[in-house]
Amino acid sequence: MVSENQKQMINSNTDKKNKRPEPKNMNAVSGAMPVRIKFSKNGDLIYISHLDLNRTMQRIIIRAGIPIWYSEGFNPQPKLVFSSPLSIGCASDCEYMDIKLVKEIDFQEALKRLNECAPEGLVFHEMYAQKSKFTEIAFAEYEIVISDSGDSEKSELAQKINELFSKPVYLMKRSKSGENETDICRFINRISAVSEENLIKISCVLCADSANYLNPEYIVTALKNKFGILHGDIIKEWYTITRKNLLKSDGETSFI
Amino acid sequence: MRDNISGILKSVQKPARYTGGEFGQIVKDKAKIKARFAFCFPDTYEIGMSNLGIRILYGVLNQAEDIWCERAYMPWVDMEEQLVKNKIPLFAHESGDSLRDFDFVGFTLQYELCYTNVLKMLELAGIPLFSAERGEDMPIIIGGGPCSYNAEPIADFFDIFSIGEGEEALPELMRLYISMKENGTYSKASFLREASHLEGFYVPSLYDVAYNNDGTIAYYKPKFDDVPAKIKKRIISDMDKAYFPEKLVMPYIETVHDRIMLEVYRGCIRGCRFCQAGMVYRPVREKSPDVLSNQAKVLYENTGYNEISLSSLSISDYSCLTELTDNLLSWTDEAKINLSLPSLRADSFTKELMDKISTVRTTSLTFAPEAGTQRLRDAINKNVTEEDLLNAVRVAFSAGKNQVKLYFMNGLPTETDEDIEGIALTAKHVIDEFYRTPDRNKSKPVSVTVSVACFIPKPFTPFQWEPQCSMEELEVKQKHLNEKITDRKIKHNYHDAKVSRIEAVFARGDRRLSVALAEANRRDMKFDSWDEFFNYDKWLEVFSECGIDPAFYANREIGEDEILPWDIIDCGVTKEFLLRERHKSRESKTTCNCKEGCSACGANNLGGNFTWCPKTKNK
Ligand code: SF4
Repeated sequence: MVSENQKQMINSNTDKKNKRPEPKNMNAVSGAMPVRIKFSKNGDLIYISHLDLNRTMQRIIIRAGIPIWYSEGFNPQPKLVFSSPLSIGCASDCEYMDIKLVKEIDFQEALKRLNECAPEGLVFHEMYAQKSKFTEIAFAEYEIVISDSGDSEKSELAQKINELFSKPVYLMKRSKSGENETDICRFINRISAVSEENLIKISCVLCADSANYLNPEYIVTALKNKFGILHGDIIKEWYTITRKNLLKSDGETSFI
Repeated sequence: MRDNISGILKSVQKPARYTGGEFGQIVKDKAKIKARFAFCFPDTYEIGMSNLGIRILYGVLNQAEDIWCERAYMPWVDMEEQLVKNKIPLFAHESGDSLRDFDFVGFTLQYELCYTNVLKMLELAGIPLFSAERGEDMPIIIGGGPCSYNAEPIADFFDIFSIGEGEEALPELMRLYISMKENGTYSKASFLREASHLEGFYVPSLYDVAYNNDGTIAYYKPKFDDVPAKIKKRIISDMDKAYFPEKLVMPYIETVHDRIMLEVYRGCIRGCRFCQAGMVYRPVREKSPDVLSNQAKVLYENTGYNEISLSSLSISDYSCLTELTDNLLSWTDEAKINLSLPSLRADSFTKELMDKISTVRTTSLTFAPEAGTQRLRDAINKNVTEEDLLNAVRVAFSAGKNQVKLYFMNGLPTETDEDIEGIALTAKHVIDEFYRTPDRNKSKPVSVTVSVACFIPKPFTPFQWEPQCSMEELEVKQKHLNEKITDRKIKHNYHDAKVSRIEAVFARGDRRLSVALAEANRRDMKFDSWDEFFNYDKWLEVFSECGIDPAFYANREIGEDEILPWDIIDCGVTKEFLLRERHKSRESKTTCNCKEGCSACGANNLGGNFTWCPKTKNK
């Protein structure tokens, strides 16, 4: 169902349609303006699934009064498309969500309203007209921080981690064809570990396109298996994973 | 504050059940707080977050600057295991503080089978179960909700119960607590004694109970002269002016009722003789359509929900339903909001109503004839005829629906084989009606689901004296019905008679059952309302261990002159009325609803605006 308001909007915008290519995944609605929103997801929000995030976003957008385009059909829903999926337990500084607007709005004002309507841990950073497709995302950069209460000297451990990933590392990895023994290094663009006080900090760039996607949890699993860390007290030993950036196929240029 | 439990959260299912941090949660500065209240729902987060009562009371308590109300839920077994293993006491979601650190720990008691969960939550918080074992350093444990109308089986675990509607009563209780703390007169005992003087509060430890040799009750006596002999239920007089939560805590994960629930009115005009809700929430008090439409709009803007459910016991009885739905549809359609109307009565299901809710996706509709013959429907005062039902399904069928769900009850007082066969016959007639409807949806087959619950005698109903059929009888009845349903288009499902029996024991139970509950807790029993946890044999063991005969509570016809465990509560409806209704049911005589005429149930003595009651009627 399209309201009168939307119809007007759609008609007056038909000329724009020819200039802007329709991004994939978005059901074509002539003229509704595609915009991209960059947000970060931290704190307790890391525990919610993709589906939950989608529902949460729909409600935030309605609360903020953003004139979003709804899907057609019997049960119209605000239409959102997200960039590459983030596994439960992962924080992120750079997530992207595409929506369509049925009315022009001031982006700065809209961002402010979105942030007012968001739960703690969810921050909206930028809103702009889409310039690229999500299919251009090839890699994701992560920071993994590990607190291990074991005795091992942390700088030595960091050194050992760097050595580990210089050779093939075989793990059971899930893929579309089932679970297979896989060399996860095939999916690692680069990785380096350092020790900082009592923590290990790992920075890595992993494949993140839809055909080759490495969940950063595999890096932690490899360390658990090889070095026997993170097996002790569940309260004192912990690790965090934060997605820092999304990169294009050259492994350097940031996706926007 | 909560420890870093990220490791735990990563190891359990649905960690968002435990994190808190949702949009709309209320966090306050502890330094400025004089009373902390932990509102506990003794079942999973998904069920608890859907509860309308908690939404209201969370908001109403947090209105006061010096009171902070938080939430807690029953952790799922994986989380329970982690909490125990890592010695983390059960915590409230907003602050992460242990329930032990609160001034009040409140439980809403929605169904009897949650009692084991209540005890498990106390245990996980490190709070002694019996009130007599809790010192001054322990929080005050308070209960409320439908089961508090007969709270006797759990009376020994609670310090105090809030009887009736809590949105005015609870803040009063908090003020009393804060003032006694401030003027130095506070001790737990003196506070509870004072609280017993407030209307709508029941302090079980202030009464002596004695039993006769045959197990019946000899007396309930207040221990002190100033303690009331009967506790009168609280109600909100003017629903238009009642506190209304304009903001909600927005769950991340999907909950059972993940939508706006608009409470249209309280109470019910009908008076079905088995229904506790229809009696204890009397008198009916309606909200006006303008108020409701505005409240819905505010909630929509503050929540972003795209579904509004009009919730009340029998929504089609609302006197301004057309006005309300028109009012709502004037803006909900454009905002793409779904309207849903639960619990429709067959005798008021019209084409007009159908059209208004046609936006709802479901292809199935539910009606509750409750009994299979007119005689039995009259005996239970379900004033619906088979003709009403067939009219209703015809409307539904010609609107393209092809699935109908019918709710019935087995084991109702006076039920005969003919009544059971009537269930199968009624379902058959619905199928026939489908084929008689010319403009039916011919592309899909018709299906009728017959869902049969077991009758449970509940306190404060005309059937409170009736015995529940024995398990064997119930199972024979279920089998008999199953044999009578031969049409493959009719699906038959029924409630587990074992579950219903345990429910009946606790529904009409007295204080002696607390021992059994403590023993069940010792045996780690919990989640009794979940099929995968309910264990009938374990319950029988518990009862035999404690020397309790479940049949005394569930399957005995109670004498009309007996003292009942719940006689201590005055819920408005009088015993004389309940008895009158019971006797009429024996003659299959119906009673008119409050709209048609007053049958002098007594609830008008509670007052209330926008009711149908003669004395308080002001429409
Ligand atoms: S007093 Fe009369 S009108 Fe009021 S609730 Fe009772 S029966 Fe209904």
